[in-house]
Amino acid sequence: MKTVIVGAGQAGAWVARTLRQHAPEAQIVLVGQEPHPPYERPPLSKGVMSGAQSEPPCLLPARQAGELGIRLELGTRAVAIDRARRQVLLEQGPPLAYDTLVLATGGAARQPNIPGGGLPGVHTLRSLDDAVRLRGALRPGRRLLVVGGGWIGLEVAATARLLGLQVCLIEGGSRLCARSVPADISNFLLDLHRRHGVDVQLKGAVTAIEPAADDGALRVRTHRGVELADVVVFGIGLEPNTELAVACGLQVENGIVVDARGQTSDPAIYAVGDVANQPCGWPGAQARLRLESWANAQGQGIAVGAALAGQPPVPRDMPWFWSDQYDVNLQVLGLPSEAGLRVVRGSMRDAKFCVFQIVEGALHSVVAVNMAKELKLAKRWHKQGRCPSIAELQDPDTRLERL
Amino acid sequence: MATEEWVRAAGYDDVPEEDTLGTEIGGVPVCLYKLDGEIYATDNKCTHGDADLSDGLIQDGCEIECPLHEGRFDIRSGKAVSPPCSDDLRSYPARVEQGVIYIKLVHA
Repeated sequence: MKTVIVGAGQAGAWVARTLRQHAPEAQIVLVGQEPHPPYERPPLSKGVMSGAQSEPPCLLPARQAGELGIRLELGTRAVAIDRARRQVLLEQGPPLAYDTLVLATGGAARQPNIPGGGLPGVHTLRSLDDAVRLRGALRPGRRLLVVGGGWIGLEVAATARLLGLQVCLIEGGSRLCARSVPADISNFLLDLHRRHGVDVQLKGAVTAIEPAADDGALRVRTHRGVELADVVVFGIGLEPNTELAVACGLQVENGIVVDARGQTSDPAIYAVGDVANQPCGWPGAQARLRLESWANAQGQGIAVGAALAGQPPVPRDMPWFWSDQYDVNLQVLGLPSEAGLRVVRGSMRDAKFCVFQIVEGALHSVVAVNMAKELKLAKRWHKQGRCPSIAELQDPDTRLERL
Repeated sequence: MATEEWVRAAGYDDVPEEDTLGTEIGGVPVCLYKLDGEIYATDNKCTHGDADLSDGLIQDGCEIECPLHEGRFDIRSGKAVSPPCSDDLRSYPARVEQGVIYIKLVHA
């Protein structure tokens, strides 16, 4: 069996590793556009950008790929899929024949669509090379302007403050991370960043960027006038890389549409990770969801790798992600909303709390700040289909792991 | 030549049943576990990310789950048993004498 995986990020690497584990005979080729072997992206906006960590964890070093018999084609762009001949065409080199093709093409940072958005000094953050460029630019005392109050924007702002930059963050909406957390958590994050000296502007806008002086400074036109900045970072979302799938006629709608096994509208082609729009049975979710998270990339990668090797389906976990900002580790389990009851354990003021959302007696979501253990317990309860009482959840003296 | 020494780690009662205690012994962060009254010891830092295993949960009786990325290790051997962890933890022999836990450190 010949399997070609296009996209050598986290999801692609887990497909390759898992397939190899269950199918020693499979021929596996992993094609990646970046020159680096597969790595994990979360540290890019934190340790890698600050310099505390020289590189992110590598998921499949070249030597290990060699030992596992996984052919790595790095620095290589796939330009077309010929479904009739079952071939992937590369920018350079002969086409790759496949029996099964996996699209793990991920996404690209959305680029600013304003005058001056392409000037030197204006950045986005998605790849290791982006993070290394930013590492060079984020020097103490410089002025950073972040556009976008989502997770990437907030993590970049926090890292820059810890490095001693002046930071202004402009968000277009009325609160931070509005897509993924309820208002009280947005307010907690706003307070956290203001306390750390970030000038956070909500309902703001950036309309144009111009060079300000010979030293590379930038004049940024915003809703409140002109701001001067040495570095501008746009954290305004991810565009799934669906071009190959669209061009070969696969069903694409907010990502590549897949079934529960990861199969696309062509049974010989699968899609995984940030680019895959998957069905989901999680409470509060729409019928379909495209998840941009580390946990999804790993979990779905493993599930598809196992499916390709003919293994029984792997049960999928609830959506889960985390963010690290300053001394705060925030984790989100499930898809939080304002529905039902929201039970708080701990104290928001002390930045150590957990919000359990209970809808019709069942655990619906958890947001945990510096209380990782409680979130992991909630995951266990959810699997077991149970939920402790409100009194037990609220009482700091209840040892939840004993329930 | 490598030398071995048994070092006091904690009081036996300081580690709750089916739970963990993070501590530092000779500059090495160590996690102590009590399973069915038996004491085990491993390094406290996860081999994958920057997290203390003593903040994690004991799952399925004998596995410690990292509180950050949920990789797991066998508490008894330090062996990495689930993704994303693939490098094993160092595990230390432990013994209890008169209510005191000692672990064996090897100095290179």
